[in-house]
Amino acid sequence: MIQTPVTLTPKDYKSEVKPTWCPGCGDFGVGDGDFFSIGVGHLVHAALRNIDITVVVMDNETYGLTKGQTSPTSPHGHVTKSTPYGLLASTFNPIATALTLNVSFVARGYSAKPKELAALIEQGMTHHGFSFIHALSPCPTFYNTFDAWDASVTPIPADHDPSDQMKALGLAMDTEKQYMGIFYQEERPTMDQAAHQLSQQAQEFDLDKYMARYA
Amino acid sequence: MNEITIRIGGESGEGTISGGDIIALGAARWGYHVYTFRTFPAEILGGPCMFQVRMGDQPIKSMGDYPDVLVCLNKEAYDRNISELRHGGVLVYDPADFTPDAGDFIAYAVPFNEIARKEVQLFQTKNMVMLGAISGLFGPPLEAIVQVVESKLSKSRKANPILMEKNMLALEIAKKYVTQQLSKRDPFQLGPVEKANRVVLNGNQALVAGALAAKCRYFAGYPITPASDIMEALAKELPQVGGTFMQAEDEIAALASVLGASFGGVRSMTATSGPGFSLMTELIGYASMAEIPAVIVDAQRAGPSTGMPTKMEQSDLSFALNASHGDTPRMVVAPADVADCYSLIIQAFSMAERYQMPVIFLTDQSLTARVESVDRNAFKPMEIEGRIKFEANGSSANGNGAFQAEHSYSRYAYTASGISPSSAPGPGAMAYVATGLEHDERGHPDYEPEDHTAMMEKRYRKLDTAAEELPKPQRYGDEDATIGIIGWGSTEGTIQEAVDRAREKGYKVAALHPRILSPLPDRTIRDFIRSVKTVIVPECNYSGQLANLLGAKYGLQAIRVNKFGGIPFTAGEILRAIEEVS
Repeated sequence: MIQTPVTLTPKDYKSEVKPTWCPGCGDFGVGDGDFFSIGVGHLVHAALRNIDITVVVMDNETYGLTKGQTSPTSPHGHVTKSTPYGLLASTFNPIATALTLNVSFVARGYSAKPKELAALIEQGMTHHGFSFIHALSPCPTFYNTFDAWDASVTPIPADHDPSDQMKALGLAMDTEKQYMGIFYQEERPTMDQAAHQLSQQAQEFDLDKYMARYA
Repeated sequence: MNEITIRIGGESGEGTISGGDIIALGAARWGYHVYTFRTFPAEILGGPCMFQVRMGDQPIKSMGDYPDVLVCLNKEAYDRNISELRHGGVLVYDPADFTPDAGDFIAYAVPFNEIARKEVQLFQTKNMVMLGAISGLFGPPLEAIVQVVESKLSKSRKANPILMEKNMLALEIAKKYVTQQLSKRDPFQLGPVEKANRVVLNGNQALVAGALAAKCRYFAGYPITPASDIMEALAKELPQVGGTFMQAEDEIAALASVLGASFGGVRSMTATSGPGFSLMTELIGYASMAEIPAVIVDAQRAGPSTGMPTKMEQSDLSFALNASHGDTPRMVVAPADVADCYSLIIQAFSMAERYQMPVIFLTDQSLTARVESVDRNAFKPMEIEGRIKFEANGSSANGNGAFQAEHSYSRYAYTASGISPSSAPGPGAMAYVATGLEHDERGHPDYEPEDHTAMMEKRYRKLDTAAEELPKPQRYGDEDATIGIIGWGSTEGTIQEAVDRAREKGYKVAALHPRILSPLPDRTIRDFIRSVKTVIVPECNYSGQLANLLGAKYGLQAIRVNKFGGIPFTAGEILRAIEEVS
């Protein structure tokens, strides 16, 4: 692949268009609804392919853009406009799911701790393979969980070994504490590498040679 | 006339279809023109199936009205098919299976089962016994069949010398049996023919060759009958030519990743059938809005819903023309025959790249599996239109790696043709956001009334440009015709044969068969309609989808001829429609 050395500065991402998203998230296309509900099948298969991309899922446990309905990560019994009698379904566990999909980089951050979250995103991008970052990111408009998460978010135990997938799963299943940090990391070949490997011996398409099979 | 139509009826899974394929291949490689039709159940193993092959020394345009020869491998095949055998035709059967009623046909009893079991001592060779008998009774030469069997068997996982020997033995014993034990009382016999430079392949195989020749280098798909063999072939071929293949988790992902690859500048395609195409509609809207080229093959099958997965229907036209919410320009093309599957898919790539929108390629179940012998010269390299690339005055487009900020590039610039110069990621790339939101020329979200109006007009202007630039369909038949036939898709040959036969009977008939159904060639179609008194629109669907379109666009009150049982038209059926309106 051709690598073009380009140094981007924040200025390059600036446009004259004034952002009008709600400053809480604006997580259209990158939220818990997109990844854990309507797009969950795609998340699963992107993970299984171990494509070298970093997925940051902004989880606010609600549907903010459509104004406050329940989400796959909403707690059981949660009352919203679409669950006036409380959520009847169970709650989706993003970290545990990513671990059982054998995702090669699994981490959780919190938008109220931007420095730590930025560091995790950087590590995810440096990681070669599919990296999954669960970014707790409260919705100040429809479901403000800042206080609750300030209390539940806990740094991952200092002695946690990020190569221990089973231990990581144990931490992920702890619903009392929300551990922040790298749960699991393993470098292994990606599908895009394997696909490039397949076409190492590639040759120009030869129509005459190809059609000979039908002669 | 040196021509014969043979139908084989049997049980799915006992070699009926593969036996038919061997005859078709053998005959074609020996120099005959061939055209096949098959119909079978969806249940993998079991259920009634039939294979029909028409062979002759002249080009063949349809599957034939009636078989001259009916070979029945069981009683059910006889019950289902005997009424379609031509008057004075031939029935070949095993007297151990059933006793035929008396009828206007010549019956030859051949003990398929006994020969396979007792003389060859391998029951699985029953279809070889059948092939030997067919060769002995009607041609094609046994050598032709032997060659195909040898080459097929040697590639098979089951290949072993004993199996090969038994197959050859079955062919020979059966041929000897029919020539020695039966006295031929029918006129159906393929005479000698000159060899010719032809290839023998089905619609999907031609489509794959075309996609590769068009430099399609990314394919993603999800398995579905009758499009899976396109996917399987490209899974094998693409890595060998530097391309990439991915089996997606569903059709949404398939088209999404195709659009991603195309955004990256690679010619990309997916292939599906109606149920999968339904899932793709959201992405069709996105591709049209973000102006990303893509070729989407819809191998139509009988619907709606799961419908009849292995049966033919031309019933996705309305859907292909309209799939997506909102006003969504796209192009729709439909191949008429096997050669077209090659050349039209190449044209589809050209159209997608030049006009930067999804192109839907409407083949159908009968054409995917139809084997035709085609002049080798029909498969030649063809020019492909590339995307119009953005050329900046400065350093951006000359590949020196300089980065251009987003706000310097009008990806969706208003142009007279509607086509805006594009840029793919890579050295010298111009940055922009390919969004499904309405946007301004630079791709920024924009909901102003005048901008949505102008952008909508720009996107649709591309169809006007295309209608001017693209080739127009040619009229077939009489210049002074009173009866016109407008068809689409895989029925062209059948319609042309009906036109030929009607003209022989003194009718004045012409046919028009547009391959590009969006944008329609308005002037050509209007002129054609005006030039005749009556227009017949034959379609294999219930609602008359092309007739509805022609009615809505041109006020045409067509005579609708619709067939929707899962089987294509015969030329005789269309000829009858011509006679009825005369």
